[in-house]
Amino acid sequence: MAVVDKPLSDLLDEVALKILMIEPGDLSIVGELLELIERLLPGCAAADTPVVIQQMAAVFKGVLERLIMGELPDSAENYDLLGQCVTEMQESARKEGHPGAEVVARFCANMRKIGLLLEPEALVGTVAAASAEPAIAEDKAMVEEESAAAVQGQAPATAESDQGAIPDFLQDTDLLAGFIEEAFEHLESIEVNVLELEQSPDDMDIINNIFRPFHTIKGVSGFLNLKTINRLAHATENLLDDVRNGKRAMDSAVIDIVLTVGDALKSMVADIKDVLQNGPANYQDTDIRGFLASITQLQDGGDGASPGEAASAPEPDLAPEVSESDEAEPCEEEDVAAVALAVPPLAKAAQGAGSLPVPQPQATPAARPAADSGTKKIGASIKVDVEKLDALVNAVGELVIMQSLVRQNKLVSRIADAKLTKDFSQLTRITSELQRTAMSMRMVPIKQTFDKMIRLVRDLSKKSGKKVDLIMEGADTEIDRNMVESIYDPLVHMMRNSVDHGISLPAERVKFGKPETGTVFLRAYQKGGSMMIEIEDDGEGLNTRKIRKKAIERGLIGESDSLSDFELNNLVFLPGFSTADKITDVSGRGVGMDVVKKAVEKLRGKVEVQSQPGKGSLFLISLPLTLAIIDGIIVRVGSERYIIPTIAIQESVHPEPKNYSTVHGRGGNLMVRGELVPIIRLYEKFGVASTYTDPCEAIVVVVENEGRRRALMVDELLGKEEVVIKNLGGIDVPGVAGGTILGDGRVGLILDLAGVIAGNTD
Amino acid sequence: MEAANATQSSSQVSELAGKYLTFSLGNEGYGVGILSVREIIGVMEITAVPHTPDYIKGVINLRGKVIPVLDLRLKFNMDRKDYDERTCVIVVEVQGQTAPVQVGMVVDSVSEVLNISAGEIEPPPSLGSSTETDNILGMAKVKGEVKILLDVNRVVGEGLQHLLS
Repeated sequence: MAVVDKPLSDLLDEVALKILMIEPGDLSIVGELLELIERLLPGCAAADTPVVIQQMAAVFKGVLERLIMGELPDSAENYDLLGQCVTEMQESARKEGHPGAEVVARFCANMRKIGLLLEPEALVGTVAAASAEPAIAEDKAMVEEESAAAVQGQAPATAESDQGAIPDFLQDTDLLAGFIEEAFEHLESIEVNVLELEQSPDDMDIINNIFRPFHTIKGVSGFLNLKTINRLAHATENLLDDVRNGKRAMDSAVIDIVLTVGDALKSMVADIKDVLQNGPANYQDTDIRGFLASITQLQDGGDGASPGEAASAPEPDLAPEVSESDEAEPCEEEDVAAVALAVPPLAKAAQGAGSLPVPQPQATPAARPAADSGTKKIGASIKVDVEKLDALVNAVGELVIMQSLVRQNKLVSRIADAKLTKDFSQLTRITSELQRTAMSMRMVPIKQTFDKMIRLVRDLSKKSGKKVDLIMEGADTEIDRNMVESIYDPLVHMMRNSVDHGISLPAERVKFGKPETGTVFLRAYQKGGSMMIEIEDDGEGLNTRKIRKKAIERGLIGESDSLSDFELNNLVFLPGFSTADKITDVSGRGVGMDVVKKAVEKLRGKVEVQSQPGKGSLFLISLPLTLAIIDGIIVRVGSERYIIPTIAIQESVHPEPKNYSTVHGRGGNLMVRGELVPIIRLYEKFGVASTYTDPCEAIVVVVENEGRRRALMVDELLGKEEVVIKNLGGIDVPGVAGGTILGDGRVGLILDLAGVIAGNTD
Repeated sequence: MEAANATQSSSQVSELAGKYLTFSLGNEGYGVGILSVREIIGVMEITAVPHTPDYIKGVINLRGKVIPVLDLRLKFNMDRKDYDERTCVIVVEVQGQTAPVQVGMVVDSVSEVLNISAGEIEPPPSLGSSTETDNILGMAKVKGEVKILLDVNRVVGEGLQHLLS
């Protein structure tokens, strides 16, 4: 075959790449590798190939042949070691055939690990004797020269130590950034698929969907010299391959390991990202030996029965996720009676790698997206820079305003031309369409947030020993991108609450005649102009009596106050309120619910709870469809115009003197439907000269915010409109949530009721 | 302390050379570095914002964006003046807490862009009150007139400081 003259370094690069591609058992690639190596052999190599490289190649060839014959184990480790040898060869090439004693020594050390006895002298000698036999140095003099001609000494950056070579992977930051982004995506998809797999452990498609991303991560990380990530991904990929080939059964042990590895990889990639942004100063390579050990354990010991079947009732005091080996012991003793033979290998795994979760032999919680989202829509999508998108949306917003300004221009509206009118209608139609499309680009399906809940519920139920089924509906519902982050925390809080306080232990549930496994429903849908999210559980429900008692204790309500059950239940949203007798590390500190309420209200939403003792609870969150647009009533105070968010308005009234009362001639209260509501005079508050100072001549808008009702006095109601919220160019003023451009181009201030009311507590 | 300031200032003065947009407030001429200036617009309706210092007139609609406007006369404790047809709003961009922020400044009238050399600039005078002079980068003598060179970031930044979100 024609030997193409290639620069040595190119050839070695090819070899390196080839080694990366090898999967144990895939001898075809080994064959190709052999072909490449043969070009470096003494006799075949180009004339200027350094002798030492030729020698190394010869050794290499020997090893490969023995691998093919099965005389040496065809394992991932050996290929790794071979990979390092190639690195040594590349180093030698860089140093033009004088790699120095250290490099040579390393090459030999690696070869020895593979199972080949090799002395450094053999490589350096002129005789091409170096092969499988331990060789004697032909030319001692030469050897001494080599080692004396010492070492440019520095460990080449591509050295094999596990302590992450810092400058190494920073060589190509562009590729690295791309890798980081994609790696995160892969890891997310791995997690989702693994959780799906738990429900259908035999689904080969899902297993492949998990295998592929690991393979990709392994490949690219190897290429980018991210050694630890590469090793860990490779090991996991091998484990999954064993499962694919039937050598290992897919059981909860494997699933747990894959999940833990996924987490570890996520944190490793995050570390790399940090280095990329902030420099390598704080970089610490992760120690993956524990993982590698347990993966190997699983690969060796896992043959046979899967422990899934013999799931006994989970003990409530099972060791938490990150367990010490000694804590694992007591559990195993209790399980021995009930559980299948797979426990011994699992126990081994736990002992072997102290910091790994002990795989619990219990039914894992289910997370099934409900039937309606079963058919996955596959459409083409592209990645767009978020800044560009925002710029586009802003520009469209301005276009809409401008278009409306032109239309309202007095001179223009006076032109009685039919064609002009028609053209304007068309213009308006197109602009609205454009606005709708731009707005929709800001929306993302809430699925990504919901998916995170699956993992959360699974972990929570394992931790608490309860069995929980999570059923999600409407994950396709779209939510404003800017809200996605903010809604995550409240949802997590409420999930934790449901699992922790709502759902009881399986034994208890059975006592009440409920199925052992509790169900939590997570629903999202659009209703009217809002987005609704429901979290419903079939647990115990809220203990209204306890709430009442606690509330009286805290002085929130009086003994004689009569509140409806609904009102009592919703007291849980007040700060510091918790009826939990026990504080778990998950909840019970009384911090959760009011934080949730604040977060939701920050998004201009509302949250409430409905509950039936013994049957369960339903938390209902309503959010505006988009943060950018608010529905409000425009009011006039003097010459200024303000917008009051419709969501807060209860009613507007033209007060009658008989309902208006003052205290000591000051302040003002209005009797609205039998209740006294304090009046806030906006003209006073905002320092504006108003048309009316007597409420009975003006109009009063009754608003509600965080349970407080006030009557805002304004001169006139101008209309109801959906307006685009803009922040006030950087200034933050209490009582003002933002500004908007009104139809005539002037700015109107949007009221922040919390601020308005707060500033007015007399 | 004075001597130290003097030597400090002279080295800084050379950095101040460049193009400045000059405008007037009453009898005084001022200048701001043109790199900070985004645009100049005629004065328009300003929507007042409650609970703000009096030199913050309010906000305006700048082509769909809402930006705050401050009145330089009031900021410098000069007498109030009614707005007339020469009154302008100079929109500058300064560094906010997290991102650049555009702010408008109301001035009596805008003159021209002058290229001021280091030789024409002198260090700021000590007027006793350090807060006032901190706003001033230096004094320029151009065409027989004195222009007070303002540090926009200081003037606008400190004006909005407690308000910036």
